[in-house]
Amino acid sequence: MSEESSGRGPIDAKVETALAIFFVVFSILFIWQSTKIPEPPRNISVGSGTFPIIVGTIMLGVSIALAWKRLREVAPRLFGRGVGEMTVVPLDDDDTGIRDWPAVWAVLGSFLALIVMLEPLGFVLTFALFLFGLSSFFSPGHWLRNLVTSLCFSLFFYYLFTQVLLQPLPNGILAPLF
Amino acid sequence: MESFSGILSGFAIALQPYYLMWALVGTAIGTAIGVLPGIGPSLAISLLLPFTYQLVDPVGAFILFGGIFYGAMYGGSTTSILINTPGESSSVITAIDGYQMARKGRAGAALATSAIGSFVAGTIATFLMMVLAQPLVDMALRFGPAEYFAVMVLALCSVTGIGGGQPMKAALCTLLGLVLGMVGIDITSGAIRFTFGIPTLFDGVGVVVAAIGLFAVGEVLVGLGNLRGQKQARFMDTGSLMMTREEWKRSAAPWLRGSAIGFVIGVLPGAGATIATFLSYGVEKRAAKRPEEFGKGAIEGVAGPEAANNGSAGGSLVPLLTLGIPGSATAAVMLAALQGYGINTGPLLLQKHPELVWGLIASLYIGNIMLLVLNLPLVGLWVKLLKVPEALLYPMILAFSVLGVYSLSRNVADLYIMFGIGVLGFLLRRYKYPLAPVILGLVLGPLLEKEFRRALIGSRGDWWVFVDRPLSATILATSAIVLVAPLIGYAWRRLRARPA
Repeated sequence: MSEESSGRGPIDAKVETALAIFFVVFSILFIWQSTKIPEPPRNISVGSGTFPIIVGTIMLGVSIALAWKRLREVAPRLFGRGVGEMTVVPLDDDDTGIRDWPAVWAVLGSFLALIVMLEPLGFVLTFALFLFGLSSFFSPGHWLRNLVTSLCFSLFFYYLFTQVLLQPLPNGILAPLF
Repeated sequence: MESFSGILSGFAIALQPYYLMWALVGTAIGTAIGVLPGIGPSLAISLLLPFTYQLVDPVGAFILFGGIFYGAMYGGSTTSILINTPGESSSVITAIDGYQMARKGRAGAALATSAIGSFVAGTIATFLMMVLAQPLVDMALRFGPAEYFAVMVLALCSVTGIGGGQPMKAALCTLLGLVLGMVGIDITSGAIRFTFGIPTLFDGVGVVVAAIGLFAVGEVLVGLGNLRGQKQARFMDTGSLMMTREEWKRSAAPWLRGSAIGFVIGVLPGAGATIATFLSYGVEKRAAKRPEEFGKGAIEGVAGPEAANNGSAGGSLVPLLTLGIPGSATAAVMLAALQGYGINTGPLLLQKHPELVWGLIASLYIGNIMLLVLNLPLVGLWVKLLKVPEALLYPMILAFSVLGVYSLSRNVADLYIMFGIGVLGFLLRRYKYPLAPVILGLVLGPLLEKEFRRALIGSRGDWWVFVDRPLSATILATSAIVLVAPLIGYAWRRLRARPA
């Protein structure tokens, strides 16, 4: 399987290793935070910190084992057999591979923008812009269909929530209109 | 006898036009989400909660959710068979022989054996659920905190031990779920933990927020990250839905075996429908008179797994309704929904809300019949759903996610939590860490800690309390076996693989 077709490359391998190490660090921080939980003043046998410390300790053990396994997988490629062999992680039936990373960044960026702008711009405007922008990014030839669908979706759900379910949604800068 | 009178009262509820309508809506939505990529039953139920809290009473909501759960299992097979693209992970195995049958012009027979198998398994699983509910509740009512703690430990260990072939990764995800469950105000002492002074976290991380983040965001990122340059799927012609006499004969035993395997695996927390289908496929291949046909269009390879995934859906509702312990991510979201309605889960659910439990069980019988009708004659209609452009579908899933989470709390901070959990979920998914254990850990964590502390407070700090009582000791020993068995198997395989 080629690097391109599998969607995995050297950066992926590094991220996977970093994730395994991150869990070790996270477990240590979690145990440290657990030890700082104040015990209740009453004289009871088990306080609020006991259970988190137990869970944190088990998690530390598991994450160390995972990181060790991961490092053993990558170590020969990092130190032993040259750069050529460390570029591709062996895979079996990869159904989570990404072929188009710019698309992933575009989705993450627009999703974050949707959350940030929801209250300042209002529900209708933010949702319409988000849907139109993202659908046109992936399907630029159908901008009119995308525009109509985005507007219909936003207006339909705005009225469904505010008029039928009686749940307020932010109006933002369009407050004078709604 | 109690089960019989219970189910009669359940039918009296479920056959009311209002509840029949919700069963029909649920089965239709379930089939649709089974067909469509990117939305599973747990995500669909999470997204529907803002609507159900406002519009539907708890009984109606659970009839709706039950229909979605069963329907998704039916619908997932359609795309597996017709375009070799499973709508659900539990239909992945169906694609192997189902698509080959379609290529040979037997798509209609594959769809028929799949739908009839789902019906048989759904009905058997619902019957077993009905029979087992009362005895299990009677047993659970005798449980003390130590036994409850032990049962939940068993649930989490089985998630880890048999939850998808990567025990260490499953264990880490379970523990991550437990950690998320500890955020917020400690229900026993009132202490505030792991909130870093952020008021939104005082109430903890919501199960629905986490489920939407984990399942929706990751799925959309993978879907859109591969959309451009993707080849257009080629649809197979459905053809006649009639099965030949030989196909009926070859399907009957796999339906029954698949139902049994699915139900047993479904009752075990965390094992889930996907594992049930793989097990069933293996069993059918071994039992088949012509195993060489597997992978080339053997009808047993469709009939068994399709029965197994529906059997497991029914099985996973048993611990939820009798013990308050979910057996799958979807059941976990249903548990959170029950809590959202202010209903206390656990063995007392059947005593305090018999209309909900028996109404749901009765509606599952009815839903199964509805699904058979919806899935066979209307298969062409469901296939048309696949013509919804993915460039619109995936952004809409994200938009629904934001709408669902915001409308539950009207707090933008929850959206940021969902975003963060979504990115984490994407990374976990990307590197093959299973996601369902995170949700199960999050749901079971607070309950586990509560029973752990109750047991220790009751024993005045004596840690032997967990193994003093025979039942609790037996369950904990079973948990240890479940946890260690894959490691022993792994070590054994390595030992055998080593040259002498």
